[in-house]
Amino acid sequence: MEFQAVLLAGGRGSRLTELTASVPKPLLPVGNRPMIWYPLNLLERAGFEEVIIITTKEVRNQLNTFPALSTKIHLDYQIIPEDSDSSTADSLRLVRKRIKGTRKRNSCWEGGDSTHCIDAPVPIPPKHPKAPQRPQKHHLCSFLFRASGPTKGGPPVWHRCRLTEVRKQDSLATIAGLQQRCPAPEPGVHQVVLGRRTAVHKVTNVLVVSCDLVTDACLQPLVDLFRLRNAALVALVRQVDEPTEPIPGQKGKRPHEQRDFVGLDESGTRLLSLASEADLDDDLSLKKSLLCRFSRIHIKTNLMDAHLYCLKKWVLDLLAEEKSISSVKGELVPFLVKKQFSAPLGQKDLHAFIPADGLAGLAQERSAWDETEAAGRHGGAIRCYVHQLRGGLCLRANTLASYVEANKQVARVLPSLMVAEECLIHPSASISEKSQVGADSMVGRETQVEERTSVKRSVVGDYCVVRLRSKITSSIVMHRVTIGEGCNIQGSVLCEGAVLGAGVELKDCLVGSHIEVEPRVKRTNEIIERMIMI
Amino acid sequence: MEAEKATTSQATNTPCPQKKAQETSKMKEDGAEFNKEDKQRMRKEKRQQKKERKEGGRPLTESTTGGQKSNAPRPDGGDKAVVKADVRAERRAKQEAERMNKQNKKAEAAGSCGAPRQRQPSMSESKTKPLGTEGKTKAVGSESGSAFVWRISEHVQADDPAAQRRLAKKLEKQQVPQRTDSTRKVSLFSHLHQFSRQMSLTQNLQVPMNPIHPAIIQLGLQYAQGIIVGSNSRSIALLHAFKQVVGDYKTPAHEDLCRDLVNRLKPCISFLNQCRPLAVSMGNVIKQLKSYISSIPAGIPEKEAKRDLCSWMDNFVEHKIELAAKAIAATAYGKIKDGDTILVYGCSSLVLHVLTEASRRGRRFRVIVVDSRPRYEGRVFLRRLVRFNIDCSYILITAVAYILPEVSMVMLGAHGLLANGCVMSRVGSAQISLLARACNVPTLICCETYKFCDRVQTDAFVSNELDDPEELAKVSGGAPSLQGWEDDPCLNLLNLVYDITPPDFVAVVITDVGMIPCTSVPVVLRVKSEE
Repeated sequence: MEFQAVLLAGGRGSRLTELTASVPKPLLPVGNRPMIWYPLNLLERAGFEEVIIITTKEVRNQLNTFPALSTKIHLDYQIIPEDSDSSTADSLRLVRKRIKGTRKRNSCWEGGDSTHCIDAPVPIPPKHPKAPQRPQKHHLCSFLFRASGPTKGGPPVWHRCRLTEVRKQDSLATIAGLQQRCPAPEPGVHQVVLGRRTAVHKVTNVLVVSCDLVTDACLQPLVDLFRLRNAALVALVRQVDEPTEPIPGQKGKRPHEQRDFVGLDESGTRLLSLASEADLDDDLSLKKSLLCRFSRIHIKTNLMDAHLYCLKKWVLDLLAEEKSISSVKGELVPFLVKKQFSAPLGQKDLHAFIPADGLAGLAQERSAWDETEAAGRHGGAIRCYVHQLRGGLCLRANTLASYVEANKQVARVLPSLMVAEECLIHPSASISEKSQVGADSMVGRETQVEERTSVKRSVVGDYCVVRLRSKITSSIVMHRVTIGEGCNIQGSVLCEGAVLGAGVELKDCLVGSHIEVEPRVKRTNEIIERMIMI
Repeated sequence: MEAEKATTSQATNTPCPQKKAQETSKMKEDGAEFNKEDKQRMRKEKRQQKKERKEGGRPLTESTTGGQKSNAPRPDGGDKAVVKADVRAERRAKQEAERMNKQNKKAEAAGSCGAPRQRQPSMSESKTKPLGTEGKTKAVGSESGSAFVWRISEHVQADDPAAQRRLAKKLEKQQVPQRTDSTRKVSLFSHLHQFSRQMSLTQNLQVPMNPIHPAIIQLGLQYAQGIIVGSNSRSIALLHAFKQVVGDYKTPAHEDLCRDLVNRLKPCISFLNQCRPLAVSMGNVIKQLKSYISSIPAGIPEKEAKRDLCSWMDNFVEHKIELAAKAIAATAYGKIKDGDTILVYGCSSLVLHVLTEASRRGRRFRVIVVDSRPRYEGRVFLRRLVRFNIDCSYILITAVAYILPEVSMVMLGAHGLLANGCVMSRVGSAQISLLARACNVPTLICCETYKFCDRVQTDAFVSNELDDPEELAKVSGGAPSLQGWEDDPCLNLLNLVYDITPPDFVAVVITDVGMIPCTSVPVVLRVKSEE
């Protein structure tokens, strides 16, 4: 396995204010799916079969029982301690031990036809002795394995086979009696994923994704850039569109969001400098040596870092040494960017972490490629790049504004992301024929929408009830919300379990979870967290 | 040396003495008169003769020197025999009896003379499988020339749907993605693949794990995007990637490393070939690597075998590339005099080494760097030269004719040296050497012997590489004047990568075995294969 995916889902979502009061951030619904589904979907589309999720115990327990998380990816949890104030860099440090070299959990299994192997959850039966003293010809146990289908994303094929021989030293087992296909197994049976034999590579790169990334982007160009430039880091960035919609419950001016000053070279891919607005005093300083190498540097402030990083594995080793680094975005990335052009200094320098490239350097030196000249002789080993997304959806749902924005836009891209033939309006939802549900709206399962209702540009969650003559426009209605007769809801967010009485009119409001709003209440631009009485 | 060339049978269109050329053309005319049956009969008889001769116990290699003397009358004799064969069978028998008395070399030459005639009809077919230059293999070669169906690489048959289907099938079996041709090609080059830079080969590959080793995928991308260019650089990078493949390789149970590893490398090579057609030097590296792997004894422990293999690859780079460059620089140093003006073209890592080494050893000379669109490799070369404080001028290839009178020598690198003495190099080299010849300026080619190739090619059409035509349309600064050229059916762009310089234009080739005329490639190849 060349890439190991790591999903950071331990954040508290402090910038999502009231939304995360009852639901942990990774499970907040975006387009009727938990937020974490989107990065998982991104990884699945790129062909990942397993991912390490760094999260809290609470989220794991909820995710395990979550019905809507229809993903085939194998989730491997890394639990972070509950109350300690652990940062993103700490999370990566935890993961580092688990992805040392080849994953031990994956043992190589020889298939009966010797062209396939199985790498996956260890299926050795508990009764089986660790090292059989005599060669065993008879079968030890029989079990089912799932062959990943011939086509990517196709349905898996189940086979029944027998395990005949297990060797101690390399945990290599021979599977005989590759029998005919059989139906999918009942739970509890050992399951083995059949992979291709040549696919057992060392983990050399790490893909770090944040759980709040909602995107329909394709990872392939980013990974290609990473491989092509033999980069230490590639980050995904996207030009920010200025949101026009008002934020629910926000009075006055929209809060000033922290921008990044991203310095790029002329081609727009090489990352030359990176500074957050918060860290800067008055001016942005650029090193003279950088300017000598790159005569033109584009400093951009309209690029959003999507918090998706492709990293070389040695960066994690570096992270383990440099205890002072606490956040990936705020410290690790700028640190790497800054170190690109510095000469190696002695033993304790980060160049010591970079594995020797042997002949590769010689090949590059002989090549008639220009860039190495421009970048100078030093710092050739650390190269940071960005992949700029053009078009498509790419949002970080980490603030209330972007959360609302993501919900609005996601209906547009969801059909292309879903594997199954699901549609925006869940088949089990009962929608009266006399109601209007716009094509850009979503309705969750078993939700009732009664007569003469109109739902436009909105997301209505599961098990909701929308009574007669209600109007829902540009709003987010989470699960189990009841909306009374003749309500008019505009640009608002109704959290889980909220109950709205008849004739409530809300504009740009945020209603907290399990809040009951009395009938005929009219509110604009407010955050409703307590019971409202007239 | 001249005689050696003649014995290597394949040189057909190379400039040769006029008389010989006339005879060849005459033979071709005669050849057209025969029908297929006659030819086949003749070939059978020849084969029969050869068998008899072999049974007679005369070693073939010894006789080569004797054969050279009777070389000149050979076409006459062959011609006569051919005409008479057409008329009467008994007459032919007599003729052949006569020929039996002559040296076997002559029969061989006649046999291989038949080969080009057979290959006349199609342009793409004239790219032949390499023939060995050693005496023994030559006999096999000439024999195969008569009965063997020439197997032509699918990569020069892009216009043949059957060949492309075959290629697609092979790639599918190896789980290697296939790159699609861009549709618009100049019709003369429709038998070659033309890939677009924009279309990524890897777009359908899965990210986390692939049947192809990650190092190979990375290398393929670097080849395709032009980050690793130049045949030396490409060969070194190839060996570097193979070292990683070998390092991660595990011999499966019930298999031998020497057999299984070669099979394992095959998809890698196919993948790289899809990214960019393999260089001549890479082909040689792969061939030698494969033969080394298959020579590893079966019983040897895997760890040891892998270590041996890696050190063999390191040695290859050190001896065949690094030390060869040093030897060439030392030889070329003697050729460069103080006050010389040297014209160079393109960006050859070897020429750079030669020039910097000469400068380091105290020679004072001036370098004229010639550059051309669309890649402008000359700029890179210029920048590297200037770093060594060498006096340089920079011109475009269009101005070469004006500057040549003040040049004392032209020094060029090579992509590969072919068995007929032709130099395969960056497109434009042939033009410069032609002009240099016209101005009486000697052209020196610097080339390591590992780039010598037993292939024969007389023109740049048959086997070449087409680069992305979009590069030609791009102009730095300002709006591209050719924007939207794809929509114009009258306009086709051709971005050729290599050309062929005939041996006439080359004064000398400086190699790691000294200075040789470029027609002695077969000798070097033979000596090397004997080693």
